[in-house]
Amino acid sequence: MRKSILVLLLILTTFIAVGCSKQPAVNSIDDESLITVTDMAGREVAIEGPIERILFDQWGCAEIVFAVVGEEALGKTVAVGNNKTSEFMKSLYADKYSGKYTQLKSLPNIGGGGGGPFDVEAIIALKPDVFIINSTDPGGIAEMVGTLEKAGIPSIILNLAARPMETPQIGIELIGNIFGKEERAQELNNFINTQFELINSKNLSERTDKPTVYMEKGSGSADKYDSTWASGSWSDIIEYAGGINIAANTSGSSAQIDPEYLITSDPDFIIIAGALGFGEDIYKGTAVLDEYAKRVGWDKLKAVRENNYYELPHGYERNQMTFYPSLFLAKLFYPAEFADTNPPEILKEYFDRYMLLDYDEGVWFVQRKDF
Amino acid sequence: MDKTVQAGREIYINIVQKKITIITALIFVILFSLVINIFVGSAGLTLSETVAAIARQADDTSILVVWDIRMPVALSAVFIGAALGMAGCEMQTILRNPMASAYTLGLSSAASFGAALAIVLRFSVIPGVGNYMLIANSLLFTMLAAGVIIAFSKKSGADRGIIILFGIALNFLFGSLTTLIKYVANEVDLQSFVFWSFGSLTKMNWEKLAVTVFVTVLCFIIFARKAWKLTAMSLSDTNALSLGIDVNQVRRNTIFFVALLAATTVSFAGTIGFVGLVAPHLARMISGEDQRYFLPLSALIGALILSLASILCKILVPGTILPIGLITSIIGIPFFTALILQRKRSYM
Repeated sequence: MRKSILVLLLILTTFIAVGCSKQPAVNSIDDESLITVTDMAGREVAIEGPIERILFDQWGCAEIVFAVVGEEALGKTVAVGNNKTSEFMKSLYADKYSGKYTQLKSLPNIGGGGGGPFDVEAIIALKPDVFIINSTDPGGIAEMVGTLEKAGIPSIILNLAARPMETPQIGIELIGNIFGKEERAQELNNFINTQFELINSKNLSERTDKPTVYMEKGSGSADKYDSTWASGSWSDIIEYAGGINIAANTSGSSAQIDPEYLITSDPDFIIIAGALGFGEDIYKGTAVLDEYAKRVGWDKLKAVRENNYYELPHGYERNQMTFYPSLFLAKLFYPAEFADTNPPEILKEYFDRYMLLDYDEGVWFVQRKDF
Repeated sequence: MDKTVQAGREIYINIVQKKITIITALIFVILFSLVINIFVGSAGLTLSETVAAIARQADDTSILVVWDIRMPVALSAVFIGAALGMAGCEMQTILRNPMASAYTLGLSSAASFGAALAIVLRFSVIPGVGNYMLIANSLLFTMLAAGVIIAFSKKSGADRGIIILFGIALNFLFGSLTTLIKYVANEVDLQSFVFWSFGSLTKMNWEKLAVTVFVTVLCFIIFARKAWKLTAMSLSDTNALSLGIDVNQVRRNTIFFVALLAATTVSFAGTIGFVGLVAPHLARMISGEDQRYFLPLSALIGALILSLASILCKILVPGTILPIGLITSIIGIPFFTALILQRKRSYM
């Protein structure tokens, strides 16, 4: 009996050896339609054009491409990976555009979802011309990208979150190069850079009257603090807008604050990065602020008493619209310096010029009043 | 005299034949599930297309899907399942504890700690291994944990109770170290780590499979050669000693090879719970403590459970591969509970 098991193992091992030794699939490529770029993970990628079928890792990433390429990119979208809001975003785009682009009614599932695995087989079956991913961790997806490459599917890795004031523009330029929309990419980057230049021109980093700021993610409750940002992402944006992040250098990059420290620091502003954005109504936004305000000692906080207590959409520290929270906070901290600037108006202009959904379809900030 | 011996021999032959029949049947069911697993997937290949792809007579993409995506996963399910089953079987035997599994003694939490170091802090214990950082880290920490346990058991002449306690202490140590890393993690890394800890076969490839097969077969041969000694380990330490067995040495050696199995499976596929606990129990219901059957049965049942789970995690939600660790636990636990309750006599 043991012999037969050994024979079986031997057969299987041979089978595996065959698998190991085989050559990867080679795809013939027509040089004339070849688009070669270096993506944000530093990989040289060759894409066979014209690009007719696009896959995105999530809707946020798709919107970066829509901003540069416009409606035609939505028409070429064949699937978008999962995340918390993917079903909702899918329905928003389908409601508005599925008459024109019928595939939007039934985009297939390809898995994904933050760190979750994609269904590589499902991706291969869709035969996309390119798979575009906005990832902060290119190492974590290296294996999937490698397998897709063997199947002749090129992946473009963006990393817009790396440096909120610079990397979005690099990503936009890259997308412009891939889709032959260099001019439009330049135009969008000019728009974004104008906003950053406005902030830069005020020399906020040299101010001596910097306000103190506390930021927290919006998934907590009256009893439970959510994480704050001690470094990177939102912390960088607060500093850039001329604020002092009270959580800076306290602990890990997204740990919770010590309530006692928060209350004794009594920051000038409290900003919650919550589930604002498309489809969320203004009452829901206030609900998070109200809920947090019930916490012990929060009624004594200066920011809460004086209504310097806001909610901004979480995710805007890592997409192509980092200019908006930057400008919003800068104006909040230094209203006199930005008297002629209206950040929501500028965001609306951005929506009108570059987005496929309307500014009015979402809520982009909430201030808590009437405490 | 002849007649009673004859009758006894017949009973023995019957029992042996029954067990061999069960083992043969299991092998066939596993092979069948392996084939099904290769035919199931979201690429939408038809039966004949899949057959053509297996024979390498199809287009490049179909061949890639079948050979590079489905086969490594399907075969990994079988071998990782077998490894977990075997590891659980020997862990339960040497610790004489029905609650033991491949992950007891803090082995899986050591692996998790290594993985967290890689995912969150991008820290590699061995520099320059690139994308293999996660595997190298969890492999090293699992073997480190095993090394510490072995060293500990040598020093104090510790019995199994003390070894278990020490293992629990290690478990908490690595658990809290992992929590510390999770505390400083940003949300994206935290999510990656959570998904890693679910256990998944999607990252398996031929190279990792080859390593898994090598380790699994090696450990099987080593355990099989010690079948009699390990069977005696199911007695009390004193009784085993009186049979001429150096219980402490057998225990130490076994912990080393169990750790090797656990380290390999965890570092490649994350923590897949339940299989290592349940497979030996099911095997024991069939064979009792006789390692000649208990060991192969544990391996085969483990292989079958994981192979079936691997098929299920592909078909339950089309277009999504559910973490296999979730499937083994959620579907397996009610089944296992029912089986224990049905079983009136105590088999432990």
